[in-house]
Amino acid sequence: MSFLWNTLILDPMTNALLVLYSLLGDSFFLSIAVFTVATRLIMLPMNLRQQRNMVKMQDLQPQIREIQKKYRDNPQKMQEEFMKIGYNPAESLVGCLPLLLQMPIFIGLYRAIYLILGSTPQALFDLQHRVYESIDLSSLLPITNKFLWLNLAQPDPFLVLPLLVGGTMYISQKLLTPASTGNDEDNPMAAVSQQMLVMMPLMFGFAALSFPAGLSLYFILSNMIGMGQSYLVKRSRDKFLEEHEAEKALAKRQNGSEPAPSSADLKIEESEASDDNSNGNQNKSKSKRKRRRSKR
Amino acid sequence: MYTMTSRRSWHTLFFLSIFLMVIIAGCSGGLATGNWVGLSAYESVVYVADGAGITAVDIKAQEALWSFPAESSQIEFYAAPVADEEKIIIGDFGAQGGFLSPGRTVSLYAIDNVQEKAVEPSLLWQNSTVLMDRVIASPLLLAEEQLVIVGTAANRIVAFDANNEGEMVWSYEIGHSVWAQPAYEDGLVYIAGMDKKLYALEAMTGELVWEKEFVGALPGHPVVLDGRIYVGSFDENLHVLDAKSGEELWTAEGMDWVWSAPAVGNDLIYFADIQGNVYAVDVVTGVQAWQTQVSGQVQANLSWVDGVLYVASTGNEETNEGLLLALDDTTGEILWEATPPASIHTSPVIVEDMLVVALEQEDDGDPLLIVYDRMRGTQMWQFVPAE
Repeated sequence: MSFLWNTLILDPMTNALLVLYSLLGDSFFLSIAVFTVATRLIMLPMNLRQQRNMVKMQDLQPQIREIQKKYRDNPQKMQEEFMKIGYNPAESLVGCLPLLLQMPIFIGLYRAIYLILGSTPQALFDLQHRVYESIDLSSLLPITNKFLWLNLAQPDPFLVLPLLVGGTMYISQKLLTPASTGNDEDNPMAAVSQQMLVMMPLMFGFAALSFPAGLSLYFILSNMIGMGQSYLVKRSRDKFLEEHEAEKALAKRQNGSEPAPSSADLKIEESEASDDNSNGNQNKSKSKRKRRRSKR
Repeated sequence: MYTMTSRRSWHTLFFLSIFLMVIIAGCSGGLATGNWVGLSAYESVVYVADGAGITAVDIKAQEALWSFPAESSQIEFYAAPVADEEKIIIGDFGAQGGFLSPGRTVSLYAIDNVQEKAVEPSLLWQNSTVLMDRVIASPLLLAEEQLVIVGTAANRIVAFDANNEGEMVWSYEIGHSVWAQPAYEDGLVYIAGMDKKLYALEAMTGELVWEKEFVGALPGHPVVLDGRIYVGSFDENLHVLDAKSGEELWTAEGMDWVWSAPAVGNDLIYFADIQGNVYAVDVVTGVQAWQTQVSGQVQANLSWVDGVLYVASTGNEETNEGLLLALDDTTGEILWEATPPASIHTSPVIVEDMLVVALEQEDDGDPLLIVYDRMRGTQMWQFVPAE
């Protein structure tokens, strides 16, 4: 397995950083920065898909909770209803994929930084066995490990980078997390989101106390790109919601006091209507739900 | 339909398992964050810096004497200590600070040179305020001047008073770290830097006398003899300079990095490149006398004693056996060879008729000392300092 790790991840990453270093005027900081942008670009489609899914899940939460309550004792039916509103629980697992894919990148980068900037004879001896023949390592040595006040292979002694890692991660996540309603007991996903919003930046900020500064810079740059990405996703979602609300308001003015149901509402009602034929004893709860909806 | 879904799930699970295993391999694989074992000798005692501390071993008596520090700690030691009759100077790799103090504290110690078994050497002084990064190379102890000169990974050369509580006498900034023990002759100290420069400084003041820049970094110990200084470089050459002026006299070409320190004897200078090519050239003119090749990579320093050149290499990668060779200094012919059970990276030391090598064992990484009869190459004794 370590052969696979070295061949597929560590060695290509190490060589890519060395090539960038030679192209970018012997600046290892710039090498890490360009590497970060490149990896974020490669992962952009997947990240966007994950963020859109996340937003979609947040929007579907009220309906999901209703279905969960209603079909608590009938898991098969619950799944059918989930399908009808376009919710697939498995997709929330797929949503973790970009996070999973980032793991080898930051573990690999962590090790590549130590390998390249190890600045011990043993680290260099190890490095020279991993460098591809097309790269002239002699001309790159010694690799400059200084950037501003930092030694990129050592943790930041002034704790600035750990604070920035935590701070940028918080802002990046905050942009995509809906504000707490103060009543998250009924909505476990919102409660988890609120906890993660605080816990993840704290955890990463704390871990960054022992990261080499180069890896902390990767996280900061990556989070800043993530911020831009989150902002774009949030903006397109807000635009969509505004248009949706405008549509609803227009329909309300045209049809009187009963607002036009949204496509998601329609899906629920269609499914409930089909239930009537097979499950007469659910009429009571359906009428309650209809009353609740008309109140809204 | 069920079969297809089930098969897809199994495929997903399979690839996810492989993915996780690769990540775990990435997390757990060995990566050099320390260094190789450091080894030095004073009279019949060798000092082994094996990461955890320094172990003093009496080679003639075949017994371990003491360890420093006596209690295990987080501090790592890889630089070979240097000793005189009274004291031993030790530089450490330091230890990472706690979460809220991530800076590294690196120290230089002077301890009693105790040559008796189980007598714990007392600490004469310790300076933890000046060295900002790891001590990779062995310090240089100037006995007459009572000065200790240390190169560090913090791009600095620092001189300490060997007696007076280890106070700093001077320091000199260079462009990158120092991996090799400095050399000394006639009041000047010579430092090979990884910044591709060789520096000559006044030993007592740290004032720069001259500096010379090369194409490649200088990882190995410079050798000074009779007003000439010899130093290998990653530019694949052995450079020879006038020690007083820094003027380059001549160069001898290798075929790859010249990492190991050269050895001088019998009017020849011997050097090796990392591909295992060993060269002997005239010490004055640079004319090549002979050339041979040994298997493996030569990175450990060469040694010359009594007409024999000793070369240590990484040996055979497939069998993981190192290689130790004794060569005839006038012809390059192999006199004997030994194959210790791991690659040799640490420069061997010679104690009377014994040749001592330090290895890291392949299975657990523990250091292993092997003592050879340097005339015949037969193994006399072996010892595991960690025990």
